[in-house]
Amino acid sequence: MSCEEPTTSPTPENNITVVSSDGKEFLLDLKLTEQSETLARLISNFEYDRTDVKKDPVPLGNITSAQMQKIIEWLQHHRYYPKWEQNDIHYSTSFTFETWVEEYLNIPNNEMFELLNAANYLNIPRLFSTICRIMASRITGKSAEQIRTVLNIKTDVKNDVYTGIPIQEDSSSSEDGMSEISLSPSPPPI
Amino acid sequence: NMDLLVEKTGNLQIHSINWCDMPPEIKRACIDWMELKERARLRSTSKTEKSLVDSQKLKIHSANFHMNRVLYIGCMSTEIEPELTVDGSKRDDGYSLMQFLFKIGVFEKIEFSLFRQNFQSELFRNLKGPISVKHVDLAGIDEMELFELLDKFTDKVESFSFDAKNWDFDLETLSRINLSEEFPLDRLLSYDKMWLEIDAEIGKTFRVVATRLGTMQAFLEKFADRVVNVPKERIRISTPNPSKHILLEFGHGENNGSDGMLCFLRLMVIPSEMGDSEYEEFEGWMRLLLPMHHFPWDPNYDDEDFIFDDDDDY
Repeated sequence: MSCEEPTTSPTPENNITVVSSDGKEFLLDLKLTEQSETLARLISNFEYDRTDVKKDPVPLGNITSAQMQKIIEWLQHHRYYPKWEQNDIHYSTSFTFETWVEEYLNIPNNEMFELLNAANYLNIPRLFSTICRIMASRITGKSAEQIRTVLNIKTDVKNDVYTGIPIQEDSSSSEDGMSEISLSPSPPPI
Repeated sequence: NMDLLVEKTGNLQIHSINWCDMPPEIKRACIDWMELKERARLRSTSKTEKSLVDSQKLKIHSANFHMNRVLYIGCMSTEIEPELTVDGSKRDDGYSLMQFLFKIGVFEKIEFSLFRQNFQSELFRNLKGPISVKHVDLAGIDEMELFELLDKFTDKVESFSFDAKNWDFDLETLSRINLSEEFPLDRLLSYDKMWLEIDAEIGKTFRVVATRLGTMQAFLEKFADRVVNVPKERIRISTPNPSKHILLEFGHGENNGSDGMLCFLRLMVIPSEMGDSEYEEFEGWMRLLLPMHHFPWDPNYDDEDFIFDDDDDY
């Protein structure tokens, strides 16, 4: 799915100002804020959608200007997309995102996690679901040890060895056991 | 007001840059998109991840487990992977995988079928439940295994179909043959976890096909104090809940390709106000047990070319 992106400049009547944690102000078209349930609710509560209401800047004290810039880029791109429905991304092993999304999220994991948190805080479901799916795909086909590396997971195996307590209560997840079992899309011969 | 909003949200820490620092609800949203193999591997990276993965349920539309010593092969369809084959034959940990699946899976349908050669009966005994599933198909298991397995399911199972006619199919442990002279009908109904004690939902069904079933007479004697009426080939009994009855239906059919007869039974919870004229015809539920079987009411019944081997049912 793709949509044309007409360039529009926010006017005082149809925008609000949000302020990032580092004090940078961003002028946001009210149309864009509809994609963020957090902002949409805030605008509704403060009646900022009315032209006769004075609009104070909205402080977003836990979103940096870099994150805000990235999020606005997302909102702009999806400005004319229909309202997000949970089923818009279907489970399918052959599913691919549009090129723009692939490029937009071609960022290191640490930035991805920050963006995921921001998307969660601002409640932008399309962005949140998309990042979750991309994150999941980053460990596809990887071994447990590779997953540890990719996600920077510090295993607690070492401590358990010292205390003598096994890492797992049962044997169902030993790394060299079940996790390496053969799971394949085509049936093996019986 | 805006000041209050700032105060409430300012302390929210959303600057995690590591997977390990992410809030569990966000990690779970990512796990939602992971395929089974990735979940299993993520689970083995640390205790935290194991706990997280285990807490995230996966809808499994259907799963067909063939087992001998361990899980031999499983074919599954999940909400993420429509066609997935689990080959547990190469390692001894197929059983562990099955445990994992039962822990995270919310199954629509599970089929268990055993290859009796080398089968270890403790397989079912050691399974950790409860298994969340709506429909269960069982084949190739004996009476002891049946009840060990029934113990593992939640009481939300809507239907069981049990093919008990192959109990004799055991190449090695001949002692297993005829463990039960006939299908333990009375024991099944007395099994409180399934019927009376849990006030089973209307519609809950247990279907079985066997070569030997208990007689209606023996059953009537066993449950004499509960019998409501005995319409043709049926017994209707009361339950502790006055709005529900249990209907037992007995059907018969030739065992295609042999001289023996097959016995069919269905137990179903029905509304107590259901009239005797409203019962479903036998043909429908008997067909569900043996989809490929050649029944006397089939149009080509007399045509020998249409006789199927019952092994084709699976």
